[in-house]
Amino acid sequence: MGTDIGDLLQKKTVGLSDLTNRVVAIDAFNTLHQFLSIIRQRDGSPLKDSSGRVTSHLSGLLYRTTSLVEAGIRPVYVFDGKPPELKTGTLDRRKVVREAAREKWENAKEEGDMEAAYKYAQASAKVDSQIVEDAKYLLSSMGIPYVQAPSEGEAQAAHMVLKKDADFVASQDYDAFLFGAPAVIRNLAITGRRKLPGKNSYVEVEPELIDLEGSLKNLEIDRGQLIDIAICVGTDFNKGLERVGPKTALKLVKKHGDISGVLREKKLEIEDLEQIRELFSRPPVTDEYELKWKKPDHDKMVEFLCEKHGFSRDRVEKACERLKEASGGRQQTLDQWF
Amino acid sequence: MLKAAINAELLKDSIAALAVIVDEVRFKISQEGISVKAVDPANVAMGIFELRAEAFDEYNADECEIGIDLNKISDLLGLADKTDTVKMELDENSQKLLIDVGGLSYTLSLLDPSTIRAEPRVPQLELPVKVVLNGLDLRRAVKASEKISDHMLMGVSDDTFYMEAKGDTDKVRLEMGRDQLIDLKSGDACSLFSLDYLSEIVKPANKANEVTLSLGRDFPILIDFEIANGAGKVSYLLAPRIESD
Repeated sequence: MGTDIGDLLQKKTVGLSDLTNRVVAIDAFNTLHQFLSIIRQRDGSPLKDSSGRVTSHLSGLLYRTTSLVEAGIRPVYVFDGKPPELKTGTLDRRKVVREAAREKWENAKEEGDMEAAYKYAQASAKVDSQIVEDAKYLLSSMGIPYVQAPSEGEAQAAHMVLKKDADFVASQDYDAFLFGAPAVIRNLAITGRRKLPGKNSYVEVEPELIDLEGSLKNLEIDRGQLIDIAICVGTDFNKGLERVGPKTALKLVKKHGDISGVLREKKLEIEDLEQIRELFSRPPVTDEYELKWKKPDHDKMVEFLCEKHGFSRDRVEKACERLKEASGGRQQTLDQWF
Repeated sequence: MLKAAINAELLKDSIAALAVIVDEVRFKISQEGISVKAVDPANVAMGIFELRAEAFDEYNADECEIGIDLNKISDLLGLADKTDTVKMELDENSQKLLIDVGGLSYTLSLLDPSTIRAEPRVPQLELPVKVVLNGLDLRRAVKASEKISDHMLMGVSDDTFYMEAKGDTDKVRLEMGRDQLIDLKSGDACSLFSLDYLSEIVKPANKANEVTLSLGRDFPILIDFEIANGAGKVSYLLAPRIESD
């Protein structure tokens, strides 16, 4: 997913405590997808309630958000709206991959190959409209705001940081940079470890902060050129040039000034180039949102999680208590008064 | 260069006043005296401290900056008598501070100032209300509040200054009118503060006969008092808490 330009960017490890009092605009789809692919049983089946409805995302959302709020972070989840038409190709491809994975998962389960089953199950994870609806309902019962983006969630999140309504975008993708986000946090996980894809082992991960300005300065390019580099490598909206990775793309764009120069030189074309550039530099966003953190609605949480989805009452009570404790008041910082 | 002698209790109080905010500080030393500006790691409270040359029994200095570990220095001052005189001499070459107190000679390794967070900028605030009261009254209200809550409201309504804390079930309130205050410039003020910070701040303020509080509505508070009979001044700036619905 997204664009593979991570190697070019400057990363700095941060602790959750560095984010205290900060508003973090979280890419909701990206996060839900993570929960759905990670929170699974050994044979790859997601967590389900007694009626067979998937609850992996609810479990992830509940505990992770609670930990964030407890660390003094103010999260706001930003949901994708209508995908840009240019993304149809990518979405279709993802669907094919997902469906193939689902089939392979079933086969692996029948053959008793648990490792393969887990792998394919992960690849078959899909954020559908029910998942999104559940997630929104849970967030509002927890008193956490969410924003509905008109189109790409990362673009909306970037917009909110640019407007100074949020301090960071949180996403595993790098696309938020292409949309102009000044600062992105990756690995905003609480567990501190992440499973390596396709392997039965874990790596320690810490949140890392990447700042756009520093990275651009370091690379001696501007944001337009970064977008051009991404397009060379391939984005959700185009395939990218053959045998061109991030480093080559950087060299090419710097040498020829922009992607048009690169294409002229290589006698190549990229379909819809101007629309793609436009999509990154001026994506559809909205100013219609309200960021308000409220106290959790205990009864609503219990009703939804315990009664409807079979969560342990004890654990939900505890999470609610932690949220309540942390949302009682907000300690301001002195830098707000300059 | 620094060569100075000072009363042990005064130095101890000064170090304690700074330790409220940080563990490590940059001392800015000049001919006029010593000054420090520091902000706590969470950016919630700032301390502005100055101790002028007159506060010392002996003071000779050129402009320089040294990094001090406050815990270390307060540990060794813990062994001094109130009336002892502390002699200090800076060895700039080895970056050590030689401290002589009650016959004990310490050689204190200094910290590299560049490893300590730089002096913060001080926000320019318009705080409409000023309350001058005795440090003991402030401490008393804070202590009472600690028993039932972790934050405390401070404000002025009409000509009465109030401090109030609300717990889940209980409430405590201290009101002081003009006649109980040393001075009051009335106006619109009401802000909530964390007792985690306030409790620590009022400890050094406890000894001051006059503590000046400058307040606004949902605004930081400025707490000023003098030390060393007016030859020094401590100010704290504390950011408020804002209640969510």
